[in-house]
Amino acid sequence: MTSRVADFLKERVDFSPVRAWVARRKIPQHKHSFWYYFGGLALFVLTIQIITGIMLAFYYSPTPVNANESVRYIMEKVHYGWLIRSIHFWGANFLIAVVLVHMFSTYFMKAYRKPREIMWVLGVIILALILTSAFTGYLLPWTTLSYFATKIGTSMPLYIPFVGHFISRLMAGGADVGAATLTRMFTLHTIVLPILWLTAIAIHVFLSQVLGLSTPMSQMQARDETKLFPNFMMRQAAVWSGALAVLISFVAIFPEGLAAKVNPVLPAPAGIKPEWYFLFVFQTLRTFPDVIGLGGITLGAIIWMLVPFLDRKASNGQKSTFFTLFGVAIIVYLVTMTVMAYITTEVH
Amino acid sequence: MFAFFLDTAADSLASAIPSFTERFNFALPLIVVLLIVMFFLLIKVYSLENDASNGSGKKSLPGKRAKH
Repeated sequence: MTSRVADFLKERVDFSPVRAWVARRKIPQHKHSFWYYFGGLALFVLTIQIITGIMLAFYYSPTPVNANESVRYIMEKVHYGWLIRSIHFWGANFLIAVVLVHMFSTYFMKAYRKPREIMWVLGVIILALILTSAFTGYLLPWTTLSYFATKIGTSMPLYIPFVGHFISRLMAGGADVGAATLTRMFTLHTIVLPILWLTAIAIHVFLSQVLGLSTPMSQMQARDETKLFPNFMMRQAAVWSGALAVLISFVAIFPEGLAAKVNPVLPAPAGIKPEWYFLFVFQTLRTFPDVIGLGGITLGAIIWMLVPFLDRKASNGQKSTFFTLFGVAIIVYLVTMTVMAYITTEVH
Repeated sequence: MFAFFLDTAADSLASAIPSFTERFNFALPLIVVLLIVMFFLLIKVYSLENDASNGSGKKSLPGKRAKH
């Protein structure tokens, strides 16, 4: 049966150029090759997010009256609904962690250097889009924490001169977080952002295949290579399998619950704080005046995105110690701010 | 993230989520299968590379340099 299908396809479509191309593809092998697996791992976790997200969307209702109830229905009535939701929740956390590891490993291997500048810029854009996806998805259960976190998030653009008020209203769909915000966040989370990050990822992956994977400058003498298929892909599949085992372990040990529906009339509870990946923003705003804090983060993100165009030494094949130290400084800042936010705020 | 654990414990649908034993019974076989698949793939790729290196007379085991 399988061979008949294969013969049917072979008579109609010539796959031989694709097969020849795949057979030719090689991946550099050196002592830092381990980091290459994080890009594929991010794609794998993203696929899990897409599948579980579609399953949740079958039952979710994006209105203030029904949102929390529909999530409750998913968890109580839908077969394995609690499991799907927990995988989606932990998958989001894993995805951000994996993308961060992928980005910093790429940075320290200076893989952004010529001719891969566009890949780096797209990578930073993908991270921003994924963080925005996490932010927009956060409101959907319509709980007290998600409501007030979104209120803070949608008020942040107010610090932007001239257009801040417009952006804030555009995000919230009105003067305050409400029904319009929920439908906007749902539409962004399930339609707009997936279209944007899928497009960006498609170009990112396409470029990685056209340009090949970058070899760190310290390993340029290493001439070892391994075949993309089957060798590299089998190792990649092993990484996926192990990662899925870890994800399932988290889901089994720490299943995601559902807090009570928000009552917007009540004041924000004391000590609320964002998810771990936004804690550095939270702490920055607590430490510095809002305009300076937000301005600094925005400027830092722009500089981070433009690093390939600023680090000319790396593009010329020279060591660029300054940018290595810059990367270390960014990590130290992010970790310090995150830890400070965690230990200095009251746990909600 | 950790605040979420506390939220879960304090104020969530305890009844909707199966007990730890039920979750454990569900997850453990799955985790074992995934780990078996992982090790199977790693052994398979190691054996592939070993065979290739023996066939060509080159040494290209993981961690060793091959001449191209």
